[in-house]
Amino acid sequence: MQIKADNVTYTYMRGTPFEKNGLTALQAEIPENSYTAVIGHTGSGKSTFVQLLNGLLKPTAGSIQVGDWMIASDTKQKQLYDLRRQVGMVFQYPEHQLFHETVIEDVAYGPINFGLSKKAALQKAEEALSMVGISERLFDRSPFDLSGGQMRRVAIAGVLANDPCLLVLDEPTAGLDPQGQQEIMSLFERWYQADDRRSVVLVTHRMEDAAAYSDQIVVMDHGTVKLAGTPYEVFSQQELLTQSGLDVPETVRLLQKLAAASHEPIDALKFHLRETVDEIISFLGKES
Amino acid sequence: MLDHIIIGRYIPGNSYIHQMDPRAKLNCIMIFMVFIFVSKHPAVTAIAFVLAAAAFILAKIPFRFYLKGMKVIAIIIFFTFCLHLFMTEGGPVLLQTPVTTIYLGGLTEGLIVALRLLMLVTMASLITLTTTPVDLTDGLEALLKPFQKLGLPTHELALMMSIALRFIPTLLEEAVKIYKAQMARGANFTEGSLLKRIKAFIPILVPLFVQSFRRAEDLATAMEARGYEGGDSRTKYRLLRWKRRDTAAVAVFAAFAVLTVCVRLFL
Repeated sequence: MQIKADNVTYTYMRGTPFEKNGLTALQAEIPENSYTAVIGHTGSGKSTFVQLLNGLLKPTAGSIQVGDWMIASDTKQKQLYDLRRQVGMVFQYPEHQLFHETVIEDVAYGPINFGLSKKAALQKAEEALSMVGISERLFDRSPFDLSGGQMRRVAIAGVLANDPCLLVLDEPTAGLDPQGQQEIMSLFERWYQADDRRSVVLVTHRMEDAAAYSDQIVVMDHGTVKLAGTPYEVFSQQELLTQSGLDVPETVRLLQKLAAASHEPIDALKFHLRETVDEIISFLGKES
Repeated sequence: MLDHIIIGRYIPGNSYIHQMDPRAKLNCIMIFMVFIFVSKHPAVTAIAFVLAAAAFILAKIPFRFYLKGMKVIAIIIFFTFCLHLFMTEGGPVLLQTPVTTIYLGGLTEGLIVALRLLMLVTMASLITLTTTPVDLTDGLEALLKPFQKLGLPTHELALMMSIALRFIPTLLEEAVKIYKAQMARGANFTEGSLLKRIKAFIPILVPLFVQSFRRAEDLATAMEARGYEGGDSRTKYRLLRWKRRDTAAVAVFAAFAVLTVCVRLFL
């Protein structure tokens, strides 16, 4: 789904002494069927921004268009119901949303809410669970008996079971070990590749994830978009990134160090791991 | 959704009331709450109103914020007013309809009761609005000290209270997070029959309880790991200081107490 934010301002706790601006006059455009990474420092407004995408928050001023839906401050909750079926949302620590007695029923909660019959919903739940790699013998167990990693997979299945067109991920790998992070990220990658009408918006502060998976990057700072474009365009603006408290991915940093130490002309902007390796091999070839 | 709850919330500030000793504030409130019920004389209610208004102005709480927080309480107050208005008989008849008769006695009774309620709620909110939870529990612990001889576990009570206060915002935040997550999965809290709406909250309450128990266990472990032990041997980093302004405030409220008793006895 195409996303277009026009002059969006969001104020937390409006009309109280605790008033705080989350977003100020934000302009952003995210193309259809893309994998977009939203990066920014803590408090830059990235979580606020993505919560506008399915109407969990409504802009205080300005408007945001998501697919065919237009969300402004006066949009009614009812109109947002259909939008939420199209936009799936995986929050930080999604396992905190589990509540049902069994794993399968928890996953079927979303589809039932969106009007599927119980049978169809359970069908969807089974598909989603097998996609995230939860084996069938766990279906009737309580979600609270599972391990942390399994709980997170079940929670993610609960979102995927709704068949969204746009999947919003708010730091979905927080608190996982490196291997778990890798597994979850490639799970989303597989989901994205499986159908070319699907889009992903990934909120992250890990540049490596943005470099490895996204084809669009939006850099946020102090509630506005500081920089946007392809990963190549964004990572070539190292100075702007540093100003926003961010850095280039490790792969780029490695090549930069190599270039500085060897005084050889090395193209440091190879952020995909494979490209980085290729660049290093060709550099080593030069040496010998 | 929960932006406008003022009960239990602290607003940082530097006003006269903010700087008062929590023990003085608690004392004043207790005097006020007890003695406002001593006499129903309009003069007493008027003086109480002046005291409450003065306290409110001195606390420098933003008026609009206060009004928004009072919305829910206003309904209760209005309801009480109506009950007294229609149920009390006495004095000259003000309005006669086939359904009900309104007497002057009902009107004054309703007004006095409504005003009292309003003042009580305002004064009680002022305490939490101007006192940090830590100060509040310290003050309470100090005031409860005399009861320790009777076997009351004052330190533990104060600790329980401070932990409870400390976790109110955390729990609210957690509730909002889970609420949003379930909304994103199509939960609907505003439509359908009452039973359906109540049922819709199960997906919020269950995770909230699970999280709270987990948090409580973590906290207990953390306290034990650092060898926490309450009781007399424990010293305090923050000491309460009684200043002249505290004496002044308590004196004003004590005068109010004496006045209500005099009015009750002699008028």
